[in-house]
Amino acid sequence: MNGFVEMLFDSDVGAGSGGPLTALFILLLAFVVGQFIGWVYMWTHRGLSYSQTFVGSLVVIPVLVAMMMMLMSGSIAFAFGLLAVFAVVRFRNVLKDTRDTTFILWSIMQGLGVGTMRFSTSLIAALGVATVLAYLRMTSFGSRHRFDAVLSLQLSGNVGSLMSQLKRILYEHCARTLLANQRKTGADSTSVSYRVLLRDPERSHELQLALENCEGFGNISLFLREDESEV
Amino acid sequence: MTGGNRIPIPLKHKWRRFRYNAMPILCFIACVLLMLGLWRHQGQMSNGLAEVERKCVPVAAGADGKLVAVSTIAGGLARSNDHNYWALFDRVHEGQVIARLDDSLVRAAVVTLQEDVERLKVELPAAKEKIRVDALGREDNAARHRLNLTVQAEEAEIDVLDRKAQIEADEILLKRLIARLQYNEPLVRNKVIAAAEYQVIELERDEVQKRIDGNREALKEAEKIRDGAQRRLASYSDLADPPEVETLIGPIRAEIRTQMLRIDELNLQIRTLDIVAPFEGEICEIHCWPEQYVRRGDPIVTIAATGVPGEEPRYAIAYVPETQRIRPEIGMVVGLQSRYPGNPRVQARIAQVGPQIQEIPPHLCRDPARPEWGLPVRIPLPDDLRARPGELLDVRYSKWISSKSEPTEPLPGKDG
Repeated sequence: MNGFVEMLFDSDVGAGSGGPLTALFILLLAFVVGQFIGWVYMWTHRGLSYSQTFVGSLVVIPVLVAMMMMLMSGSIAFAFGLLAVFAVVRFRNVLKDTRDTTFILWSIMQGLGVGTMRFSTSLIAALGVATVLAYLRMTSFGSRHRFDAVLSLQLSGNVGSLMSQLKRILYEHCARTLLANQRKTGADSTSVSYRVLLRDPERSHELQLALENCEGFGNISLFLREDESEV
Repeated sequence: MTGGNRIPIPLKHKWRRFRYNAMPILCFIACVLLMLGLWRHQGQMSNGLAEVERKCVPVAAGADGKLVAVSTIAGGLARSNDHNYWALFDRVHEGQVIARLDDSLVRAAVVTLQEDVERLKVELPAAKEKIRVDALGREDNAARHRLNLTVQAEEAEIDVLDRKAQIEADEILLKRLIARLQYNEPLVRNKVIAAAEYQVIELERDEVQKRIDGNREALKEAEKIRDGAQRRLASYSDLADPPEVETLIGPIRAEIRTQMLRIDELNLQIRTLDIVAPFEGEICEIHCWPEQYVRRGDPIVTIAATGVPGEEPRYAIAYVPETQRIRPEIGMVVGLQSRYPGNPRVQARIAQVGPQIQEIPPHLCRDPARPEWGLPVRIPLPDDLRARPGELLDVRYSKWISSKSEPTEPLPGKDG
């Protein structure tokens, strides 16, 4: 068994000193740094054109580039070959998404690794990149999952007490709320809009029912929406 | 915010929120911890290369000439192949003749020398007769006697020269016979050739040896006679030689001196005909083959002192690259590991540090295509590290070795 494991993970041809642990360390460090970059991007992004897949690509690309540098080992010939292959692929395909580009790059890297007889490094890199992508999928990395519904209603009457009552109801049904919009529409009527994160989205009708049963609440609309992924 | 009972969050959504919120942070922390652990392991990785010292010396031809095939004896038995010359991995002993240069030139020079001596023998009586004819007109007996002594001294000198030339010629012949005997000895033992043939060569060798011994004795006698004649001549130093003696004998004397120098030259050439191994080892490289013409200084074979008992490699030479933040010092503990699988990591101490930064040999660079400069250090090999000369070893200069596991006693080494 040990021999089989050694065959899988320590059989690079012509590799220098290092071995599988070095490859793992390199990929891990690249992933940590990539995730840090992704978080910084998420935290500092302002504006409308936010893309979750782009943030995910920020995490994967350092890993792929680290793998590429490991495989090239400073060889100019490999670098030019890689450039040529990538140019050909890019020329033939219009890559709509950064994530697509990432996968194209990954495929090319794997071909480069196997072709240069760095079998173990290719295997480790394939498992590593797949794990990273699975992690991104599982954690929905890059999504700003703060709210999942928009509640709009009109308050008629004593706004103060109605707001207190509204907040009590929202506390029961929501994990998080944010007053997005408050607009006075009349002498004693106010239109408010909340972004809410429901505790149980499948029981959203109970929230609506609870609001409808209260005096002073009208034009209630609960709009379930996806996270801010693509704008 | 207080209020009524909050709706419980279903497990599915709790898990979802855990995945979206907490899991990235936990995974990040776990990856950072794992990365730090591997980073520490990376620090333990070898950051240098050392080469076990090797003794590898090319053996060069001492003179110009053609290489002659000689037998090589490996382990006391002649090799069974058709070739009777050196081959890779042949073991040689110190002083063993590996190759020979063809002695035809030297033999021809000896023959020429002998002819010149004969010519001098002929010229001297002619000069003597001429002098006698001139001296007939003189009444001075003492001058005539001195004249005779001079001629006797020169005759004795020529005789000495003749003996020496004969001895040189016989010594060359003796060497050839000894070589033939060495070549035929294993063939006789294996019954490839008849013992009678071998004995014939032995007899011839003995005869030549006897002749050499006889000539040496005769040489001593001739030298005694020469010395006696010169002593007697010296007693007539107050009398000036007749001018015609100096004029007639002078060229012969000069020719005798020239032939003596030629004998010395031939002696030197004969000594350089044999190419011997300077130490015990194995042939690891072959540069020239028999029947090939070589010049003085051309390497014939390269001998490596490998696997000789008592001469196992004791040191490894490593280079600390300038880019490394390590200043090697005498006594610094380093980690050594052979690249063969299963070899353990051992510790050793730096015994010597080079005086200056120098270029690292390419095969010791981390990237052979990029030249590096470093400080050489010499590391004695521990007893439990088996390494062959020229073998590469992974070296770790990490400070963590010396701080964590610095031995309190001197480490055992092959140099004690």
